[in-house]
Amino acid sequence: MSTIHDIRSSHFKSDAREAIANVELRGALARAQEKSNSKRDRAIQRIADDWESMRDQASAIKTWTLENLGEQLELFERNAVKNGIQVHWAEDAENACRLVNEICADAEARSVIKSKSMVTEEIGLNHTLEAAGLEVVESDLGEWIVQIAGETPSHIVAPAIHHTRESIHRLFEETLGRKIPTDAESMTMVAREVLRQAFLRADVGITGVNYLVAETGSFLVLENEGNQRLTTSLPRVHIAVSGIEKIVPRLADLDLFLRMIGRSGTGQVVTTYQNLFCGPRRSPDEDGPRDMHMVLVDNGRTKLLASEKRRQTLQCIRCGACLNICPVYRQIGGHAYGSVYPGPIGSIFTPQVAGLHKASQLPFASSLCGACKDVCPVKIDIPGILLDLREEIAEHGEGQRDQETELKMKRESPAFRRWSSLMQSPRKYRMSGALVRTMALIASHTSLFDRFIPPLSAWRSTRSVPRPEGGSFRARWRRRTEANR
Amino acid sequence: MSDRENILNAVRKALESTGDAKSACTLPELSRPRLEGTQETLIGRFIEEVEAVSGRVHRLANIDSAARQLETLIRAGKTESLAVSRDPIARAISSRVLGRHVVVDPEDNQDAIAEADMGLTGVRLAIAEHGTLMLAPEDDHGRLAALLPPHHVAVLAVSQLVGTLAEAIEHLASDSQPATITFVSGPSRTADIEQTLVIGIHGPALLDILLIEDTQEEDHPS
Amino acid sequence: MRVQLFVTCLVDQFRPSVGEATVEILERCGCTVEFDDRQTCCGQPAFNSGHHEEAKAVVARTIDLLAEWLDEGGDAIVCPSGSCSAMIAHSSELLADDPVRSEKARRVAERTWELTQFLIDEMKIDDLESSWKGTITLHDACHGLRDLGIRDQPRRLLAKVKGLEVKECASCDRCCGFGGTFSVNYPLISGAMADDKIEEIDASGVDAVVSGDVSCLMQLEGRLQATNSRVKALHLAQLLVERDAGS
Repeated sequence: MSTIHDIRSSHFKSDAREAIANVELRGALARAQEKSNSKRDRAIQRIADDWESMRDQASAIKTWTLENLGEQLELFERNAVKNGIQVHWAEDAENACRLVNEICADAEARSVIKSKSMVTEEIGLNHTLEAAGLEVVESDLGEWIVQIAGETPSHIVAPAIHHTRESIHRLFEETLGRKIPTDAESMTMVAREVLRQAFLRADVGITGVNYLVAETGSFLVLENEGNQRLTTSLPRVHIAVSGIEKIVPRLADLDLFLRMIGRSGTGQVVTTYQNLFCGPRRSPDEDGPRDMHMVLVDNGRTKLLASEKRRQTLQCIRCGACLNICPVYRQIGGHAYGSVYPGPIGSIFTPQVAGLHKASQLPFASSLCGACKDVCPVKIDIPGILLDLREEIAEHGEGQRDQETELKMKRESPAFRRWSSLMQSPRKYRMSGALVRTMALIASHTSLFDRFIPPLSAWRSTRSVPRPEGGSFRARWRRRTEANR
Repeated sequence: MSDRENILNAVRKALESTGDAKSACTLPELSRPRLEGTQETLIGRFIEEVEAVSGRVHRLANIDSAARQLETLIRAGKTESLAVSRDPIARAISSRVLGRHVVVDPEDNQDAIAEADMGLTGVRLAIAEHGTLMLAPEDDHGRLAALLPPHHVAVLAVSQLVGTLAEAIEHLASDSQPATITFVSGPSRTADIEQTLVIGIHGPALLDILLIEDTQEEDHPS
Repeated sequence: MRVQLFVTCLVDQFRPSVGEATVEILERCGCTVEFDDRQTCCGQPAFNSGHHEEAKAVVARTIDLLAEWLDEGGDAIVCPSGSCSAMIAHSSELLADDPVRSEKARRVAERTWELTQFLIDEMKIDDLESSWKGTITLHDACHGLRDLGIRDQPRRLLAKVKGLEVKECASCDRCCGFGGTFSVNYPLISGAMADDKIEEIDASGVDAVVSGDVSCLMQLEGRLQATNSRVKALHLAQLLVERDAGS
C-alpha cells in the first residue's frame, strides 16, 4: 500500500497554529522567500522572451511522457540494463525499502552515505536502514542539519529553511560537543570535515534522481555541494532511487529541463554540478562504483494517471518554486503540512499518494491565490487540482476524511445546501440578505453573539467585523429607478 | 506477480481508462539553441559565465605558458601536493613542474588524493553559455582528482569549447556514452544556512581553468 | 452601449456604494446601465469549497439569466469584482455535463468584463476626469490578476486621477489571505497573511489601500481595524467615481 513516511497531515490545523506562534520561524521563512524569489526573477528576466515557450515545451514533454509511461519505462529499463545498471521495481514504500536493504546486505555494507533525495524521505528509507543496523549519514548540508536535529525536511529543495544560523550553531555545538565559530562559512567548513570522514568510510552511496532518460538508459542528478559526486564516486555501490514519473524520452530533453530547473528552483542559471550516470565504473576508470542499482518506485503514482487533470501532479520536477511563492507556506513553513512534500505541490501530491483519509485538510489549506500555477515551470494547474480534490472530499469523501475535515463538512455541507436554495430564489436571497446585514451590523458592534455563529467567531479571532453600509444595492437601485420615473 | 508487472499493468490500466486523449498529444520538437558569433565571442561568454559563478579562467597561448600559470597557482596557494589525472595535456603540463612538487597519481589510493591540495585534470568539452566544464572521468582514468582536493585546476583547449548545452548534449549523443559525465559550473557551493552563500563545501572551493590556444607539444622542453 | 451590472452578492449586501459608483462610472462613459434584480451570486463560495453540486445549480441559474439578457440585445456584462468575473469565465467548464448550458456559459463569459478591464480594454477610456487628494497603494486581487490578467488596467485609470499619488508596495500581488471559506476555516493563517501585507502598507504611509474586489477589502479592513491602523480600504470604483474628494 502506498504511504508517505511519518505523515501527520491530519494534525494540520494544530501544527499550523503552533507554526504561526513561532515568530522566529516566520521571520526565517519571509526572508528566505524574499531572497529566493528575487533570485528567481533575476535569473528568468535574462531569458524572459523564451520563458513562456520553454514552459509550454516542458509541460508538453511531460504530458506526452506520462501518456506513454509504460513504454518509456520499459525502454529505460532495456537501455539501463545494457549499460550495466541493475534495475529493480518497487510497487510501494515497503518493497522499495526492502530492496535497498537487500542490496546493502548483499554488499555487506555497514555504512551508507546519502545525497539529498525526496523519494527516499517519502518511503522512509533511513528509518529502515537504521533498523537493519546500518549507519546512515545524510551528506547534503541542509539534510544533515535536519538529520542531526531529528527532523524531516521542511522544504523540498532547502531542507533546513526553517532554521536560523543561531539554531544551527546550537545544534552543531551540541552534536559535536565542541565550540565552533558562529559564522555560516565556519559552520559549513566544520560540516565538510565531519562529513568527509563519513564519505571515506561509506560502503554504499544512495542518491535520488532528477531525470531518467529512456532512450539512453542513463539518469541525471543535480546538486550544488559536490556531496552527490562524492556519494557516487567513493563507495563501492551506488543505489539510485527514483519515482517512476521522473522519466524523459530523449537525452536532448535534458537541455530544456536543465535550463529551467536551476532558474526556477534556486535562481541559478544552472546548478553547480549535474551528474549523468550511464553505468558502473568501466575500464580504464580507476575509481567509481563497481555496482550501480536503480530502484523504480511507484508508491501510489499510478493511481494518479487515471485522471487527465490529476495526472499533471506527476509532471513535477521538484524545483520548489511553488513553495517559495506560496503565501500560506510563508506563514507556516513546511512541517505544519505534516508531509515530506509540503506547500502547494505537497497539498496535491500527499493526499493523492498517501490517501485522502491521511491528508484531507491539505487541499483546503490554500487561499487559491494561484501564484503557484504562475511560477510552475511545467505548468501544473495546482489550484485546479486542489479544487478537484476539494470536490472529491466534500461530495464523495464520506469515510475518507480526517476528524477535522469531518467536523468541517458536518457544518459546511448543510450550510451550502441551504445557501444553494437561497441563491436560486431572489425572494429568499433578499430576505436572508437583510438578516445577514442585520447580524453583521450587530457583530460590528459586539462580540456577544459570536458563540452562536462559529464562522463569525473564527473571523473575529484575527479581524474585526467590517460594518455593512446599510441597505442593499438592489434597494438603492429600485429607489433610483422609481425617482427617475 | 512481480512488482514490475504490477506497476506496468497499473500504468496501462490507468491510461486506458482515460480513453482517446492520448492521440491528441505529440512529443514536441525541441528548439536547439545556438550561440551566435565568432570563437572570440564564445570565449568571452565562457569567461563571463565562469566568473559569475566564482570560477577563474586563464587564457594561455600554449602548454609552456599553461605550466607557468600552474606554477603561479601552486605558489599562490602554497600547494604542497598535486594530484594529476591521466589526461595527456594535464600530464604534459604537470611534467614541466615535476620534481618541484609532490605528484600524486590517481593509481594511488584515494587517501593520497584526498590529502592532495590540488587536482589537475582534463575536460571532455566546455559550454560557453553556462560557463560549464563537461568532465568524463574515463578520459582522466578517474573522477577523484577533480573532486577530493580543495582546488581543482582544469585544462581546456580552445577547440573544446562549444556554444550551448544543447550542442554539448549532441556531442554526447553521437559518442558512445561514458560511465559518468559531470557538468561543472563553478566551485562547490551551498546556501543551506540562512541562504548565505558559502563557496566550497564538499567539492573543490577553488576552480581554475587553463584555457589553452594551442595544445600541441612541438618543441618539447628539456 | 447596453450594460448589465453584475453587482455580486458582497457588493449588494455590504458595500452598495461600490455598486452605485460602478453605475455612475459606466454612465459617465456613455453606457446605459441595467440591473436585473433577479441576480444573486456567481456560485463561487460553494464551488471553491468543493460543493460543486450546490454551486452548479446557482451557476446555471445565473448563466441562464445573463444569457437571456444578451439574447434580448444586451451588449456587455460588467462586474466590480475580478473574482466573480473569473468565476463566470470558469462556469462553462463547471457546467460541462450540460453541453447546452456550457455553451451558453461560454457566450456569457465572452461578454463579461471586470470593471477596469471593461473601461480600458473595451471602452478604451482611461481618463474618468476624477480627482482624489491623497496617497494610496494597490492590492492586486488574485483572481483578477492571475485568471484575467488584470494588472495594468487599474494603474492606468489611477494614473489619470488628479491629486492622487500611487505608492507601489512590493507585496501588491501577494494574497491578502481571504480565500473565501479559508478565511474562517484557518483564521490564524488567514490573519497572518493579511498582517504580512498590512505591515508594508502601514509603513508606506498611504491613506488607503485600493483594490478591485470587496472580498479582499473586507479582509484587509477587518485586520486594519483590529490593529488600529489609520489606513482605509477602498474599492477602485469608490475612488474613480470621485470628482473632488480627499482623504
